[in-house]
Amino acid sequence: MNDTPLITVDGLTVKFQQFEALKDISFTINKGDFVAIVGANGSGKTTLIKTLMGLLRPDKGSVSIVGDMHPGYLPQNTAVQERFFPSTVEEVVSTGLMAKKKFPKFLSASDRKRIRETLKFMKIPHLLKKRIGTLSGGQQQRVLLARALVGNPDVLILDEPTSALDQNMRGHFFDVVRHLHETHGITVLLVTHDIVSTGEYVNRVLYLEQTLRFDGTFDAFCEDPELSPFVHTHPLKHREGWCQH
Amino acid sequence: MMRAVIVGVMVAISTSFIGSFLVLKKFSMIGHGLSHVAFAGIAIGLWLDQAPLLVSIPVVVGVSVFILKLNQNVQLHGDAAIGLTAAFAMALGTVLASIGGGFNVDLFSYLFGSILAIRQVDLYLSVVFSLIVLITIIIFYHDLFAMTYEEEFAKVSGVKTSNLNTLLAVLTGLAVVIGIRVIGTVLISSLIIFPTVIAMQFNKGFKGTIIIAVFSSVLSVLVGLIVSFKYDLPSGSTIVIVNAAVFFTIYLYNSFRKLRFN
Repeated sequence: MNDTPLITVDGLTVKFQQFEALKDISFTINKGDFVAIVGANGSGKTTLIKTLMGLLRPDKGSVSIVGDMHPGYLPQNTAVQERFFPSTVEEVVSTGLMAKKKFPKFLSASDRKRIRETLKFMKIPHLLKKRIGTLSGGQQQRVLLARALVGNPDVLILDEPTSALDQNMRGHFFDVVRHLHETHGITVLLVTHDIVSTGEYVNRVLYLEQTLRFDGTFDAFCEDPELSPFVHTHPLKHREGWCQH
Repeated sequence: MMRAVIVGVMVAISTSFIGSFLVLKKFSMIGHGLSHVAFAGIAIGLWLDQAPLLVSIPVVVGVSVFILKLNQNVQLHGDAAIGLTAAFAMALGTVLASIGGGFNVDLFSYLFGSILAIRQVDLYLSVVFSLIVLITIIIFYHDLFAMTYEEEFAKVSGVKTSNLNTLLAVLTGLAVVIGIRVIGTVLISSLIIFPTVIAMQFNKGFKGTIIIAVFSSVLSVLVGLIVSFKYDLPSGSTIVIVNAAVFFTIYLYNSFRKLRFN
């Protein structure tokens, strides 16, 4: 984590017809941040990251990216396409290499090597030729994280990545993300409902209710009296490590 | 017959190739919709006394892109955009056929395909446009696959999905038109859908599925053409029946195997 800005959001407003999904939001993400973006359903979390990635256009305000940002994206409800979609793990992970390839895009021997290395890093090298639809939810999530990582991203954007995983798999998943953050210095933006499991990993929390209600450390988030409706009605608030202050 | 075989094989390869992307993008009904538009294009060509296929190409390609834009910009679901365009095109074609009464017999050969009606110019058109479709898909294969698997991720990865969707619409329009002579406007969508659905029964990866789809499509077209030639049957209908027979045979075999091992 350092103070070099990577993404600067200034006065961002995004509307869907008359509904303001995001209203006048400003913040800066620095290189090496591990940020949790939290809020209730419909608070604008996914809208925010989609706008940061250029999938949605701001109605007002701006999103400035410093230099060339190479995001690795793990979407919500990951379109692990239907069970019968005919594609192997190797084919799915290869799509993560498209960002940096020049036209015409063909997979080289070094690309295939990079795919194998990434799967090895994710501890799933044996799945290379398997059909993704035949894998368990946890395995599919690892494959999709491998797809997000294979292109050597400088920012990892994870949208509710563990909603389909059990408690053990969640811990395992976040251990991998923390390792990437700590040893490779990757900036992580994590959209989550599960602030309980993720609180120990993040160094910053953005709390949304269409507007940005809170921007600070996890400890400060726990102590903020104005956020008590969110913090103290959380279904898992009694878990160890959850806002112990 | 030789002309029909060459045109048939080229059409089988290009429609099954592009069909793999359309079926898996859940956009396969565009083939059905464009077949109605092709009917209108043929009717316009006959009415103007011009080469019907040549007139159909810009009409079908244009409408294919129009359907895509309706889907993207007017926020009309794909099936609704296809449905309303197809209905209008069919109505237009029928009115023109009615006005030009004299070309009804000719129109029938375009509706269901006819080997005997394939001329030298149709041969050249199908070879040239099939090659265009094939080469373009090979060049853009990885981007097309990324978009087919997950459009949002592809977009974040720098794939120009809007341009690529337009390209796919143009290629689909071309594939539909070049298939008309062999299989006819009414049944052309089957050449887009059947081969991929058959190939998906084999549980391969994406590339493997495309290869099986192409092989299955070529085989079905060849068998269909031979049977239709020997028994004087409409070529399009015969090819579709062969495709359906292949699909149900493999489907029943797989179902039987599952029962046996469960």
